[in-house]
Amino acid sequence: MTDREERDLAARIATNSDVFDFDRALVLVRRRPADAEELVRMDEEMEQREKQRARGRERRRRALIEDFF
Amino acid sequence: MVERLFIRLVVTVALCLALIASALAPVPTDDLGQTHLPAPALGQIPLYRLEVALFVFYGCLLLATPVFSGLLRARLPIEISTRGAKFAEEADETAADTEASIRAVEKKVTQLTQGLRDAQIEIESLQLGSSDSTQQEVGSGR
Repeated sequence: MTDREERDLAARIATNSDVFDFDRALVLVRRRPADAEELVRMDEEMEQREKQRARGRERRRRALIEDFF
Repeated sequence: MVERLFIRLVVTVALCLALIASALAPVPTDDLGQTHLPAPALGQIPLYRLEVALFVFYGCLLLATPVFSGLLRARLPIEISTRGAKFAEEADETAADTEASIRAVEKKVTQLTQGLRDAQIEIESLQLGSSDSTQQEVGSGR
């Protein structure tokens, strides 16, 4: 992993994190790259689930209003 | 399962009633015995019968919807319009509460995972510092 890639990964981990700031995330990326990638994957999965929930909300809203037809 | 069966039964009954009403509905006539259809029928008996069928069918459904939800689910629609029956959004609110709980748990899990990884880094740093100062492995098994 290049220095640029490491910094990008660290920035992604540090974004919206209450635990990691950028420097701390960079240390994680350099020492435990697999764990760092796992954290990013977790974030992506959370985003996916949030989108699924949004779709479910929309379906429920329609079902409630148009229950009749 | 039983609910769906009941709905099928109600719709079937409504359809049968509509077809029977359509077939048996007398065609209005004037004093001279000539057909005197209402304006929406456009002077055509088949269209008149079709309109009677639609009227009876949707009338039955309009009646059946609040009866069904009221009797079986103890829930009445708050509004019935051309778009259908609108029910109180309690179910939606319950689902929203569940979603909020799930979101909070997910956030907590992420925080804990990040905290765990941070702690592991910290421990490694301490171990490295310790081994540097003592020039020997601390029992980490590495």
